[in-house]
Amino acid sequence: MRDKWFIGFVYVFVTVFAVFCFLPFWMVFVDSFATESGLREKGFHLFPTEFSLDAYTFLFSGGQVYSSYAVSVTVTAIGTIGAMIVSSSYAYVLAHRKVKYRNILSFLTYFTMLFGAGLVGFYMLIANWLGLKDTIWALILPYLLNPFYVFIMVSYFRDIPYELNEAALIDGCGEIRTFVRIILPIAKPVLATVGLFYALQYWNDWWLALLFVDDYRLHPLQIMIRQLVSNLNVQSYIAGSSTSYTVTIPSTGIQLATVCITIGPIIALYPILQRYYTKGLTIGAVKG
Amino acid sequence: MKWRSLLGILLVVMVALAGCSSSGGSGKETGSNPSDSNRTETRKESKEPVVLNVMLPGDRPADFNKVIAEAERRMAEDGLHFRLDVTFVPWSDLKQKTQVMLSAGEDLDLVFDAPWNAMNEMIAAGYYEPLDELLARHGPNILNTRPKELLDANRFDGKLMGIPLNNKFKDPAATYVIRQDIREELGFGPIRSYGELTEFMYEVKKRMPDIIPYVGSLATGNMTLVPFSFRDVENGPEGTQALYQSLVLYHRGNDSKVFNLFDEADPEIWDRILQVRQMYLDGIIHPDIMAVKGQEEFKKGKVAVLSLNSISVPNDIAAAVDEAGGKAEAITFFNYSDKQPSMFAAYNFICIPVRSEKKVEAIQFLNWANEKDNYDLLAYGMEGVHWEPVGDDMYRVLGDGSAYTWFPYAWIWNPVHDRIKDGLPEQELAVEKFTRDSSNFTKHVLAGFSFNAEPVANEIAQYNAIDAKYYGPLMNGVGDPEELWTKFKQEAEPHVKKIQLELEKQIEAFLNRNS
Amino acid sequence: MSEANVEMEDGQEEGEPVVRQSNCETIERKGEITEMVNELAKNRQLYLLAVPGLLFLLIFAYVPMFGHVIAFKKFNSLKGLWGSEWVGLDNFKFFFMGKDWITVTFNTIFLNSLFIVFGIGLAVVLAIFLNEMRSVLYKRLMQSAIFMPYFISWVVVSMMALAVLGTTEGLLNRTLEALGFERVAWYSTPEAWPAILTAIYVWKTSGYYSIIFLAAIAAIPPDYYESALIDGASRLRMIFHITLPLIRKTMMVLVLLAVGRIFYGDFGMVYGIVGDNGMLFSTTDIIDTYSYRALRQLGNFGMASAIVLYQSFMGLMTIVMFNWIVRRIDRDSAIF
Repeated sequence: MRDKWFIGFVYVFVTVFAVFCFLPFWMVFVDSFATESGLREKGFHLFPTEFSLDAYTFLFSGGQVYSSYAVSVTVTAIGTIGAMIVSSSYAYVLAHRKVKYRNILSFLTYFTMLFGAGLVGFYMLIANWLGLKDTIWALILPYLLNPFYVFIMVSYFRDIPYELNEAALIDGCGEIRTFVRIILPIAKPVLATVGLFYALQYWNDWWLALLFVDDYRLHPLQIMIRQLVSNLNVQSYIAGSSTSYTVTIPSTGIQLATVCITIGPIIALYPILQRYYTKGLTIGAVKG
Repeated sequence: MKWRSLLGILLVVMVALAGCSSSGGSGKETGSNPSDSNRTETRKESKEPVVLNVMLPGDRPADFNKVIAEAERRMAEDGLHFRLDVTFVPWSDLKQKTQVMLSAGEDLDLVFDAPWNAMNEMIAAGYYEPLDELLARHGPNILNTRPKELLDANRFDGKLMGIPLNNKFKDPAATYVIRQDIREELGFGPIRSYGELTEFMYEVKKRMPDIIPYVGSLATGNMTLVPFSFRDVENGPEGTQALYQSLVLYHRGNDSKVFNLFDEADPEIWDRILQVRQMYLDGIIHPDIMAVKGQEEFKKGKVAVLSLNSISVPNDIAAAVDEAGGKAEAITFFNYSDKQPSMFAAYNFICIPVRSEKKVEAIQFLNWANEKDNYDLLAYGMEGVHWEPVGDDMYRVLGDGSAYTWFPYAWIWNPVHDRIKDGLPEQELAVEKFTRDSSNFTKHVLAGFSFNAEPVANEIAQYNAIDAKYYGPLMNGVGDPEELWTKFKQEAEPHVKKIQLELEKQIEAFLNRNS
Repeated sequence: MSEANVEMEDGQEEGEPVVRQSNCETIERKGEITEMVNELAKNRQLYLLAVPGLLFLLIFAYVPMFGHVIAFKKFNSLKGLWGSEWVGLDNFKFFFMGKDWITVTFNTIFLNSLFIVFGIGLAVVLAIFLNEMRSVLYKRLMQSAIFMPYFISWVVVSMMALAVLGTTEGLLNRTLEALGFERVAWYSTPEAWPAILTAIYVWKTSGYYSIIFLAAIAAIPPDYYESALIDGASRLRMIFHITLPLIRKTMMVLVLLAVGRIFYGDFGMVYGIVGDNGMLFSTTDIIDTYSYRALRQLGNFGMASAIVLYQSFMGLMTIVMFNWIVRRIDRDSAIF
């Protein structure tokens, strides 16, 4: 009986929170199609009263946005796959019982989370010594291993019953084979999670592009947006009447539109990944 | 034991790697610059285009490639085989990126910088090359499109460390953009003084409760109400080079004396502070002035008076207010007919990094760019496509202006060739012309003085942090002045004292040198 | 050690202790290295798996660390990084000179602690609740919805904050007025802001973190729940006795990971929302924003790097301490 109340509470709580999360986003979406004057008059509003593509036309003008999209998608795809390979194998080793030095390795890995690369050192490494300036690899390589995500995987791997490993060994599998054939399939939930996180990390990054990619044709989406928005804000303080723009730039609308075009692909990716959150992938694996 | 030995090995590896790579890297860093003249000879013979790496802030205009191609073509005709590789960096990240690149020894030939962008520090750290000789030999156009006062006033320690970029000699003083329709409705004639302005604002409060009388474009620096309101007062307090726009240390008129507000509570300034506080309590000043974006509020049509930095009403504000059902006009109390003292300070500079290997070529390029036709090309775009001339000194934009946005302030601005935009109302046109003519200005005694912040860098950093806490709220009337001032004074006074002494010392040295 | 003792030959007398001791040490060290080689050989496949990761860390994380040396130098472009003058701790002075560093450090730690507790707390609650939902479609819908705030940039969030908290037009104030209360000037009331910032942070990131817990919950074998059901337990009891204990490790790991970074504030968030509004600094100014503001007009690289080192070093002390504590409670939850 108590259960019914509890479940009821659960649904209400989650729904209320979800509404709080969704509404602002809905407003951003709707308002990105509003006119700048409408935005000024009413601020953030829920229901569309007028329709205007001004903000989007501005963003898409010049065609830069298409190449930026292409670069972002490429970098995210290659980066995520690469990062998953490097990180998951590394995390597995950190979690494995037989590895004597796993604590030392863990400490050394965590250390890099605290003492990040010094800016000048980092720049010199990538631009001068590795010569990766203005290449797509400058956008991919530096993020292949994120200690935070690695430790999430380590925690998950540690929870996998060791009996599975033992059974595999008895069957004559080597460690690498055990990892690939037996452990990875079971780890689908955490792999989906971390995969999503890496994809987001690559997708959202503008920092690497700012430092290492001067060629605007190789600019990913986020740096293009950042440049646009940052410069827009400055324009209003530069001797206003002397700029050559004779049309008004919908600056607020642009901020909203950029959120929308950024979220696009990821929102498509997320429901696909939700399929991997199926329970009980370990049943039968041990008992059988 | 295992931990230690492993850590030890790791440290050794790290240092070794860093050591070898640094000698490889520093080979590039400490490379000496062979005499420039030799290298230009060889270059001219090889006929290979020299690539100039330029770093500018802002947006890449859509037609930039076309314009640059045309520029390169013209330069080749003139015997200069250059290629311009221009990188645009967002304003907010420009400083960091240039510093990282220059620190890592990257190849940059022309860099944008400005005193408000920590240029003095960069000079103190030895990033830029002194240009006097190079300009004398290769840059005659650059020198003769800038009046002598401008060149003299922008030296650092007597040397020209960057080419000053400017088109006016006096910052337009305090300009207020007000709602003309509201003014007329309330029966006010044109507003001609700060007193009338305050009267107007109180009237707005009384009879139009839905409209907020005042908001500022920015809530910090010299856009805080008190300093802003003094900008058009004759011999009003003006900030110093040490603390920029803060009035804690200030000058008055054409004089080099430094006043310290902590030492003596100047009655004129304090009166204004108390008045502004009263205005805030009376609801004249926007209650969230520290948090809102003033221009946005004004555009919404909810504010009567906005403080701004431009002589005329900017297009976007005019259009927005129009849509909201009102009309905006710009007013200023500045007297534009008498001769004014000016610091001749340039807003921006274009500098050449010390490590550049193409300094001569860079100057040659800028020299070429400072000829009238070439300036027109780079500043406004291709004639007939992006713009058309209106007489000799004005221009009109063709199309909507988005194909080639205007940015000469970033690298080639000079007062002689810069054209005025067509379509300005009479009064503003007169003001523009007035401020571009250097003969309308007398030299301020401190023109040419630049403060080296290095000896008091720590105190300035501390002051900046403390200032951020109290100055804005104090000068905008948001908090109780007595309370804020006590805390402000207690925390900042010792630092300011040290800064003041250093500033006075440097000013004295400067005056002695130049007298 | 024991090996050396065992290999001592018979007949050796007291008269040769020195030789024996150095023999012991060499053998000891040789023993350690042999041990290491043995270990690597024994688990060679595993260490092979770790090679790409290790290579990455070495190249991209450890090598650039030499750049931190700039915090101790007065950088001069002509002299380069190695030729610049060594100034020891001078670059740290500007920060520790006044009293502000205490406030600012406290704010950073305090705000981050609130973020950790409420952020992870709500993420756990959401994950558990989502897991309790029967309808798969509804559950997926909710999951997507709570994830959305993560994508809204801090600039847009600050605009929304203004729309809610503004004195004249803000949603909150208009509601308060309608209910008969007085308006509050939120942007001039520093006391309210730790709560406001925490609420915003939790709203933006709980959905993101809940995914991690959802994955952890998905790994719990359903038979546990089935047998509990047979025993007549209510859902609530199952949560407390099955779900929570089994995701405790994940919670600990996330908390520990966050604790090490407790001296690093979220610059984007605080600067985006609070900006230059000095009225709120007493409770919202963090090390990162303070440093940014103090150095804004100075552009001094060395000073900025010095502050980052301060944050790294303090974080290191903190995590070593916390990790040690967690090890004593539950060895498996510790990071190292």
